[in-house]
Amino acid sequence: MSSPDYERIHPLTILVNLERAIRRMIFVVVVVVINMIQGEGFDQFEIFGAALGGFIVIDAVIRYFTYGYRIRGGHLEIKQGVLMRSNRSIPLDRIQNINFQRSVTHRLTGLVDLEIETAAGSKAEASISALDLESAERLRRQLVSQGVGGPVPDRALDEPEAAPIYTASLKQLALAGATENRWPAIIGLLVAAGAVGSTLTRIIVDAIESAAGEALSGPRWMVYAGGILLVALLGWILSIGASIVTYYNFQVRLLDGRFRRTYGLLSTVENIVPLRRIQLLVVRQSLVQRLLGYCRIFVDTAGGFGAGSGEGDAGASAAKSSLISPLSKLKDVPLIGRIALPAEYSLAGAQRISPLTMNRRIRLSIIVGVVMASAFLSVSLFIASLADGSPPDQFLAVWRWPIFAAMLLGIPAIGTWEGWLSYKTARWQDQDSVLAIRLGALGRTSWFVPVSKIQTISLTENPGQRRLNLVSLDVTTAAASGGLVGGTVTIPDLDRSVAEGLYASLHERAKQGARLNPDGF
Amino acid sequence: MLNNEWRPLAPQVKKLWLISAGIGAAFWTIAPLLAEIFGFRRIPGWPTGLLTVVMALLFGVLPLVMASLKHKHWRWRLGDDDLAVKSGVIWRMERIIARARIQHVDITSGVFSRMLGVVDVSVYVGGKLTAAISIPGILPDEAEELRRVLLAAMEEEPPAAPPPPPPLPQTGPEPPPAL
Repeated sequence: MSSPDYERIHPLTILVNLERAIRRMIFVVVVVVINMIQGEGFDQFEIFGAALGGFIVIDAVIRYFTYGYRIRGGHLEIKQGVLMRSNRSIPLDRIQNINFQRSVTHRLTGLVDLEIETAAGSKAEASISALDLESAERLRRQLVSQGVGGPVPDRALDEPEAAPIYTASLKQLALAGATENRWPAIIGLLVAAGAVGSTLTRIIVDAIESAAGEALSGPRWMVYAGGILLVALLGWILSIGASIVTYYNFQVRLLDGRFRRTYGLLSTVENIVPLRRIQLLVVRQSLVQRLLGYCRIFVDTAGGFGAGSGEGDAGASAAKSSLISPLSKLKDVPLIGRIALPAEYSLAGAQRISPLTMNRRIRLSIIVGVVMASAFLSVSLFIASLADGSPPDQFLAVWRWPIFAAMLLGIPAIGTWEGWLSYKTARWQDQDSVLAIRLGALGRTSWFVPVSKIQTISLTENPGQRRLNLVSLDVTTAAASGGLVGGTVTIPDLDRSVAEGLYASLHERAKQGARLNPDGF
Repeated sequence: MLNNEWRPLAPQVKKLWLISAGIGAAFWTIAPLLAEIFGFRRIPGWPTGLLTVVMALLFGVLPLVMASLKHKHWRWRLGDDDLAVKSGVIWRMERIIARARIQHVDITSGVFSRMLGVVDVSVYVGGKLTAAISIPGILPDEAEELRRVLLAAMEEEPPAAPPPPPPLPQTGPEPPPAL
């Protein structure tokens, strides 16, 4: 057999590695820059920076000379390393999906990271970083025509003209950013950044104080409230911006039994996923999205093309989600969802879970309320017994009983309300080839599980359920756990007879499905 | 030999669980006892012995009882083309997997299990790093037989052709209302 030589990665990978190193050590870099601005400790940081740069250059040079890949005998072979050598061989027919990841540096240098995922866990099995676009395309074509989802004619990849089945407009992306619950995280980031750079904190405080102006003469809390509002607003705007930058030009196209997803303004991502590898379709709505009739749509594969990434982490963390639609009208879900599911589906005419769930939730929240209120009371009485007149002591003297009463009544009240909302939302439907489940209190999530992909089926019951003859049913698929979506889906609180019937009937069909999937998933 | 009936774990497993619960019980009785004798006695009005009794009951006697009940409730069943388990005393669980889904089967045993002559069987399915089903303690012969049957089922499976890709979305009639 002829054995082709190993091919090399691109020499400019060094720039990509540099960017990656900076990205990883972003906090260090920020500290260095701040210190440089303030003119403190310039020398040390210069030396540190030079050492780091040197290390990265050497690392990249070694990598260039030792890293190689080739396709031979139905396997992708990758060799790397000097001291710790490794030779990896990946059977082409085990490849789940292939991703192209490009950061800004990649795009400036015309390079691309190629990630290859198999069903083993949620990380990319191999990440070839970096190749020029032409060799990457060539490699991908070879991998696709010999692997991913069986042989197909080359032309499948030459048809980008195929009309996209989903495209996100700028307006939709802005709306997605505005309605996602992402801004608390961004506020956290701002606060953390403020804590790191004292200069930055001073700037923010100055800005708030000058913005507050005359309000400063008013009560102090107004200034703080204003400040918090300002930060929240800033976070919200940043979230909108982040959504647009991350998901810019988001398109999903179908090509011959696969879908191709592309997006990104600065870092770009391109995935190719065989449709028959899809394990799960998930539709999520935050409260605001629900009120406006919008949703996000995810699909998961056994490779978890969204769940994580290997060393080629060119994209931002948000780029690793298994989204196939950052924002859609809810009524468009069946249109997009058909790529993932063997049949049409809907939740019209779906069944509720057992109403006894309310009974269980109310009991539970009463127990939690009583336990927490008693715990609070014991602690507060213990503090009172010390009678030292400290501020907590004085505070409790006034507020002990009101807080106790609020906990005793409030926790069950909130629990009951939340339980009622959850009960009203919860639906499930067994549509022969698709099991559909919807859960949530304020926001909502719907799962659509192709029955032929079900791996395990479980019935579980806790003591609270047992006395009401309720059972929960779990199904898992090979969708990578640990991802945003995860592989386990639960229908809570079914009547025992219903759950047992569903368990048996799902198992019968899952068994048939198992025979259709030669790899077992 | 193995087909289609709910089978208990080997009786040795109960012994194993009782021993490990017993070690815990000893620790949770002796530790608070020492603390009471050497430490808490100096606190005026300390009800000597109360802590020890409570801890011993909670962390000593209760696990012993639970270990025995847990063993009593554990069942597994090898069906014609599936494998099922049920377990749990307070939180109960029943799980079934089709044999065609199985990716690999592990037989493992710890030092104490080996001394008592039992092994654990773990069954893995695709996409998961942890075992889908793990049977903690059956006789080695039984485990070998189980593994042989499970893996044989895998190999018998005809290499079916992949199913045709789902139909492309059409822009035909209005799709049904989603949710």
